[in-house]
Amino acid sequence: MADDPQRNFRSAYYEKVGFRGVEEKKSLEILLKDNPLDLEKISTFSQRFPLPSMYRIHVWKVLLGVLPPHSDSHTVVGGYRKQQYQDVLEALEVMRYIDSSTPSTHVYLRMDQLESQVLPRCSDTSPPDEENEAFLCISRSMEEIVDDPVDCYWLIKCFINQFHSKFGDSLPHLPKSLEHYLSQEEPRLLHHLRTSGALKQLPYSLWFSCCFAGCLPESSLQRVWDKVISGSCKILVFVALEILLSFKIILLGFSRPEGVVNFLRNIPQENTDAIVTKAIDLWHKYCGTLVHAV
Amino acid sequence: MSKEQLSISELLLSLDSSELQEAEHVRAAVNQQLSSDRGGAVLSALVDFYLESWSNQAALLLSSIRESNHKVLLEKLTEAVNRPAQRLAAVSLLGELVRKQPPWIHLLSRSPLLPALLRCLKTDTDVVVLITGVLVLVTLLPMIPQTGKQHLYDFFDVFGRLASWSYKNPGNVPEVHLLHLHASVYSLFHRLYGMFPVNFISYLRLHYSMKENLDTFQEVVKPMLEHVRVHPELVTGTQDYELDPSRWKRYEVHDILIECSRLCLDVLESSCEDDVCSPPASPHLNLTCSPALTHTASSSVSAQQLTLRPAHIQADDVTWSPSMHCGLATPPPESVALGSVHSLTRTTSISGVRPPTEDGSTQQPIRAEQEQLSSFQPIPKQETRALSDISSSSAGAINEAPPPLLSEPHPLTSTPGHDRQLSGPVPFFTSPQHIRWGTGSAPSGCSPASPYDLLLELALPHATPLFLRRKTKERSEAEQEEAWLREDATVSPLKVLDQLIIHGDHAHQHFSRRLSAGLKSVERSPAGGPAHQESEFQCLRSQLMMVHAQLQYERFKRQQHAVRNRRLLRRVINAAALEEHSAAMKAQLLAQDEEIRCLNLSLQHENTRYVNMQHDNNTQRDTLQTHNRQLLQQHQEAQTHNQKLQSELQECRSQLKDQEAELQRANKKAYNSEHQLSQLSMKLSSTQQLQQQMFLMNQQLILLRETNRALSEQLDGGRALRCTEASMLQCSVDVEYQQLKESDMQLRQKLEAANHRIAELEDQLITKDQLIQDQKKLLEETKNQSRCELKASDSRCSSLRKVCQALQTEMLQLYSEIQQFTHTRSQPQDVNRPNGGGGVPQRLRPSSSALGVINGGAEEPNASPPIESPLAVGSFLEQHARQLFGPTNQSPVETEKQEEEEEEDDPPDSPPLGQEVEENMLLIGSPQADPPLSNQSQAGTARQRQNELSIMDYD
Repeated sequence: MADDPQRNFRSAYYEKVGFRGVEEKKSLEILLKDNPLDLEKISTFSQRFPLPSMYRIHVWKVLLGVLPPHSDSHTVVGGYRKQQYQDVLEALEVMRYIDSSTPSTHVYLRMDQLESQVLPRCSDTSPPDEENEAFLCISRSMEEIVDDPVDCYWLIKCFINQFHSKFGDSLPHLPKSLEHYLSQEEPRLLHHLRTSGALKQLPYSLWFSCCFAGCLPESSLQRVWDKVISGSCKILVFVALEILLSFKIILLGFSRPEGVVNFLRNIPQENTDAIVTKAIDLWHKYCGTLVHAV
Repeated sequence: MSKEQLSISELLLSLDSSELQEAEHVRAAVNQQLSSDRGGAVLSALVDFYLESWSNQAALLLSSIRESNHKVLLEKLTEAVNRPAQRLAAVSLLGELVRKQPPWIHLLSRSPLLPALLRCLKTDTDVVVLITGVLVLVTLLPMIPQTGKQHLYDFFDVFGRLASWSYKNPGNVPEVHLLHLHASVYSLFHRLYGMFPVNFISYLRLHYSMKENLDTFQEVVKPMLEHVRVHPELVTGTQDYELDPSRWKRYEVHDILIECSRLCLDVLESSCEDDVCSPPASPHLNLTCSPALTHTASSSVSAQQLTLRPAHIQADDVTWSPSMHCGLATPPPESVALGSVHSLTRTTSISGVRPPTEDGSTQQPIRAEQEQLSSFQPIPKQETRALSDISSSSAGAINEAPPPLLSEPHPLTSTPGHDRQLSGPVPFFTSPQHIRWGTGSAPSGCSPASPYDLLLELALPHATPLFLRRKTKERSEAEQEEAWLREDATVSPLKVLDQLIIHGDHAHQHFSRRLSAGLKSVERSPAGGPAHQESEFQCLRSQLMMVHAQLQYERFKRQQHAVRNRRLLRRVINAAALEEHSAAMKAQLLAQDEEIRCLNLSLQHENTRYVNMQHDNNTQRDTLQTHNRQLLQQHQEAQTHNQKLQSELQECRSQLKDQEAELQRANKKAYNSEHQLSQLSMKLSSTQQLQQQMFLMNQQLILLRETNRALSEQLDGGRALRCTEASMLQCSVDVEYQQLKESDMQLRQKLEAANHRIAELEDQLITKDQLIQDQKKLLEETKNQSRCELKASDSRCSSLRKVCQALQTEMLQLYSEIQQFTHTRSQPQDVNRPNGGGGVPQRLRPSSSALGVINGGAEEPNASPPIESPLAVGSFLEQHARQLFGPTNQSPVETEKQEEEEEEDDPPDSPPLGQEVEENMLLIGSPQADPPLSNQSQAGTARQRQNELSIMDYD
């Protein structure tokens, strides 16, 4: 893959000019041509390079297990997934949990609840709790990214399941890790946050439980999720760190923790691409390009 | 002004009063007025007063005026000089002033007074004025030497005129006056010759080369020239240099005087100081090396310096002595000054008290000299007699003649009569000639008595006798010279004048005697003619005045000599001090010489000691050296001996080494021989054995030969038989061998074939393995794929089941609601329940395909008649059996019910139940034959199970 000198030159040239991902696309295509897809390689690629958007959904589906690694069985499995989706959807409709007016995110939530056998009674449909809220957030963002509802449902479901199974244990440690990196990057800001008391009230749930769904616009968010899906939750810490660093001056201006929290909950959406890029760079800097960095 | 004038004139009148106190008072007052005088009125009054009265006091006052007033005075004097009436007084006043040497004297040269005086000298005919003026000029010249340049020829003219005048006597003045004039011209000549020799000589040359002046030269100037020696300036100097004012800067007045008198050969005029510069003095000065000589030198120098002293001292004494001792009737000219001088001499005499021991020593030579000099006495007597005619008229009453003076030298040196002795020899009219004569006649008696000699004696006690002796000798020589001069050369005018004055004394006596006799008979006048009394007086007065002028001039000279003497005395004292110092130094030198001698002595001593020590040292060193040499020799001998021994030792060692080597060689030989011996012994033993063996072998050989012979005999007997047998055996062996070879070939071929086969088989095996591997891989992949698919479908199944569960729970809830509803509404409604219940599923049926399937499947059992059995109700196994073996014997409702019950009772048991069923089905072996009542889940599980089994098969 890297043997051709011409390609090497070209890639080097592209790197120099600033286009990234031109070569990656071809690499990814080569990777995706393998019959039993090598999940390891794909995840490594996804960690190392940004995914081209045209392959993103496919790669996600493969990585999250919505589609099997064997491309021959993709259609079959896809059919299965679709039937399952429809079955569950019909059942919910029959049970009158949902109707046509129900928002799709809620539909997905109910479906997931049904599948995980935690569907509440129709009579006591309580307002969604925190866990459901994270689900809803993620599903809202995912809905924007993915058009097909079947795929969307499956991606949401598998994403959440994988996130919780893989990183459920490390989630409580992420705030500490954020503190650590902040002290290395900008001790002044950390001191300010600590003295003002805002450190404990930072929107950790929004950042780490929802994986920035609802916090960042989807165009930026999908790049973050690329990394999360490919197996790293540390990127969340760096995105948070980069948000803090980018709005350092504004944050230093707040003396009350409520102001900080309010601002961070509604950060301006203009420059998020740059933030994410910087965060990825920072992540590469601190964690290297480790394949299985957690 | 007039009042003041008046008072001044009054004061001046009382100035000459006889009352001493009053005169003193007046003098003080006039002095005061003079000091406060502005316009010179007082001064001019005073001058007028003097001109009229010739007052000495006025002259004294005038001579002490301050410098600021001198101009007026000079003007006044000039005026007076120009007036013939007052000329004499003015000139005499000028003489007084000049002799006092006031500080403004140098201004005289520039004032008109000097030309006036010169003019007067050139024109006047009055002898008295001329003599006074010439003497003033002579006095003045050393004081203003720098004026020579302007008035030099005036001076010369004056000299020329007066010389010719004194010779030709145009004014017919008396002879006596001419003598005076001649004397003063003589003085002027000496002064001019002393001060300006070159110019003067050139003038003389010019002036007397003229014929009309020749006789004057012969008579007047030539005798004068005989009395001078050649001036050194005539050799070295020029006319211009002489007139250079800077030439006189170094000289004081008395220096010039002495300078002039030094050139004079006339004893009366000259000073004896010539010897200072004369050659004899220089050897003395050079002889300062030895102490004895320095003494003499110093004494001689001092003696020479002091030779003039007697004359001066006598002159000094003269001022106060003459009338007292001569009994002269003329009043003393300076009665006031007399007392003071007296006291002065007394003090000197007191201070100069001499020890009596020295008196004798000094007196003796003096007496000798007196005796010596006594022979000269007749000469003055003769001269006095000769001149008595001339001076008889002028000389006053002289009571005491020189003889008593000359007879008095004996008590000269005794201190009490010192004054007298000093004054004793002084003649009446003081003049150098007279003094000279006095000293000659009363020889040097006065000279040691002079205060300077006393001082000299005090300063230099040792030198004095020497000095005196020397002086007396000189004196005698001078006398002899004088005598010679008197015989050969012309008599000096001064001498003549002197004689005249001396004889004037006699004349005076004679005259006074005559006067006392009656004043009538004036027998002789100096002019020789019939003398008129009045004219005689006039002549005498003028003569007196001339003598006075001369006297004043001499006094001035004396004063100058005194000044000079004081300076010389100071030098003497300095010299004495230096001498003392040198003596002290000499003593020190002597002491140091002594010390040096001592040191030299000790040095010699040390040297001898050192030489001795060195000698000792040398001897010791020599002995030590010889000893050392012996020792060295011994040492060398010992060394040679030692070397010899060493060489011997070396030889012995080498011998020893050789012997050792030999020994070793011998040892080696011995060892070798020993070894050879042992080897030889071994060889010997082996040879012995061999011999034995040989012996045995020989025996055996013999035996064998015997047997061989026996056997060959035997062999010859049975050879044919044995040959056939062997050939046959050989054939058989060959055949056998062939056979074996063939078989071997076959076997080898077979082996090769087998090997080939094995290789092929192995290849096949490998390919097979490869295939198997591929297959396995493929299988794995397929398995994975199918597993994935299965997982997907499984998940779908599970989801379906969950859906079903959810639906069922929903359904149950609905049922319970319905039941409650029916219970609460009425009983009859309970009858309709099956309908109602049937209605509900029907309503639900279209919504779910799964249910539809079930329902569809259940329609057949519904059609079949229900089987009544005891096991139908409540028994699980029965239900199952029915389900399995009698597919139509259960209503769908029941089945559903059962299911619901199952699930409600123990839902977790359902999967094992399913498995059981499946197993049962497998045991029966006809699952396909069964009616399709098994639901899909069962089929899925069965399939899964199968899969698992198949996997297990492969594994």
